[in-house]
Amino acid sequence: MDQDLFKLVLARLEAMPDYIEVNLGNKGTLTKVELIKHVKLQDDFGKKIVEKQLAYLKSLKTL
Amino acid sequence: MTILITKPSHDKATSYLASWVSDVISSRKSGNFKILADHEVTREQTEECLKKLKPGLILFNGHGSEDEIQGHNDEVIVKKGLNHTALKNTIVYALACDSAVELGPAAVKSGTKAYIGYDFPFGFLTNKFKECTPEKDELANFFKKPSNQIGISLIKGRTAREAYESSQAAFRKMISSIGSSETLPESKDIRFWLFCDMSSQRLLGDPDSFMTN
Repeated sequence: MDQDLFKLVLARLEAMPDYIEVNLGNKGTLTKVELIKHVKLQDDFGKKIVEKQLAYLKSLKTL
Repeated sequence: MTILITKPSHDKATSYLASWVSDVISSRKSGNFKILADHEVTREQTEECLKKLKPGLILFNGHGSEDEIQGHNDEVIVKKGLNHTALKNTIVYALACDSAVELGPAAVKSGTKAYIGYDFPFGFLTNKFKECTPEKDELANFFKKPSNQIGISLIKGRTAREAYESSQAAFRKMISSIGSSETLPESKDIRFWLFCDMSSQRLLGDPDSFMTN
């Protein structure tokens, strides 16, 4: 995994306000800490989060 | 033509989705709605409705995975290889995670006119201090309108393509509007998760199909 992208995604997640929760169906309701854990572990969901962040950042010019 | 709606509400995520679909229902003054709510959302009841009512449109709300849709207490109500052929001749919108990966394609192959769903977990943000009142959770409401746009369009007789494009446009508009509002501390998070939902929404089957009255 691109380390710069990895760090960028972590930084974006760290900046998430603590009162926000992300509801993801069967994955449950995830807090900021849990999202960061998935990304740091680089499990399947963590990798997908990084992929989506990359796609999102690339799309910013057209959104 | 009957419109079948499932709305379990046994946990936080399903409670929010059940609250959202009320806006879809109220967007049409009269309609032949069959609503399965809470403990009614079982496989048995769903199959019975599909068999007897032959709905022209189904709005599934709840949890899901790549090959299934779930109901009350996460009971599997539709599953690829088990009963997905019961969706034949209908238009389906599944507001659920991942089901456009396997269930949607299998349903379309078996005669479902159109299937709109998601190929990634449908995600939405909530404020943990407002989860007792979903309708007042301003964070979740950013996700409600673009998602509801599918159901609202389909029950008005729009084609699957029009419903999909209308929802995609609503997602883009919402992302843009938040983009110009950096005063919200959650702006970047809302935009990202809206993007995830928008980019994982899929239209399968015949885009020109629509619900006949």
